[in-house]
Amino acid sequence: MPTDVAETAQSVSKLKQACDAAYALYPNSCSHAVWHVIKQYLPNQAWMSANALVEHMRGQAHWKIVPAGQVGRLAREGVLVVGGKSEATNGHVIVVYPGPDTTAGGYSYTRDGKAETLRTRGSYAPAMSTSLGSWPGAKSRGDKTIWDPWANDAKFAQVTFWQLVQ
Amino acid sequence: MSAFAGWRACFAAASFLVAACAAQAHDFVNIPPALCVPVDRSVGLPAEMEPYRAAVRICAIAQQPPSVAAPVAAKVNLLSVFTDDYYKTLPADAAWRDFPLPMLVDATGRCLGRIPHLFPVDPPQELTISAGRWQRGTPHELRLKVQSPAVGGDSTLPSLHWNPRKGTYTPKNTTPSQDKTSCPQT
Repeated sequence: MPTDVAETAQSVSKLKQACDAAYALYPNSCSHAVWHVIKQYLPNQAWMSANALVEHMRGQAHWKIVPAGQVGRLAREGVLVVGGKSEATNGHVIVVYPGPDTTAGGYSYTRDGKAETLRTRGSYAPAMSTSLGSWPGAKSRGDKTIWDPWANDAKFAQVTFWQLVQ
Repeated sequence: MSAFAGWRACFAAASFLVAACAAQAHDFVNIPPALCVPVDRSVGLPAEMEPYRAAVRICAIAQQPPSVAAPVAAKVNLLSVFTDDYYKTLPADAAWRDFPLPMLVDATGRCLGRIPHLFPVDPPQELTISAGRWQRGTPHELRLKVQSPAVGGDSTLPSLHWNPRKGTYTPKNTTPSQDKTSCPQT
């Protein structure tokens, strides 16, 4: 196996393991789950709330903004990419999970007391996402996409993605 | 029946059926989706809505419910693809379509602007439209509230304001690149 291929495989494995562990350790806190992944790359990273982490990444040279359309490829190369959107109360942060792009939606949720399936739409990179809330699209160990936590095109367009540059 | 006559008949029926619910302070009223009515076959639709005709409904935006004795055509109406109607007869795994945004039209069918969110439902979001600041039967402001169970929760979209000079509804403080409320080019 060529060295660069082997290195990529190793990077992907590290990212996947970090995401899987974060999902298991912090199923109810997006900021803690993302923090856990970041710590595997930046051991001195302090925990921050989602809003604070988004603000922090904006001002750091080692966090480079990347378009949403590129994050899947980067994750498949083993690069850590964090996505986030601030809110007036609690924002949300995710990690791009390494794997092939897949359709958003396709899972059940409750609407007006009835179980419904969110129609599949678009193709996006998978995500590692956890949440205190009950929205199923925000709970993903690579089985839902980076669109699903927000489940809305307009809101998703406001999500910023940062690639860790080391 | 001419297309224009079709519009008039359709709006009279919609106005008769749609009694906007007094739900907010001042003179704002919510547009109740349950009272929007299917469009008549004689009514011409914007080309982009034609493929979804069976699921298109028209909602009269009226301040007061018209009386039985004298149904009055609303000055402003909303044409919208009801996505629940569209999928009613389709299999559960039918994929989402890129539906056209709802369109505000006058009694002749002329486009007055667009609502930048599907109405009433873009799953899992639901949109509530409140019309207010009425002047001679025309709402001068449309407020848009989105309810969402997803991350980020509920939100408010920029209100649309009536511009009497242009004869259109436009949002305030929105850059052209963000604006989805313009009428399609004819």
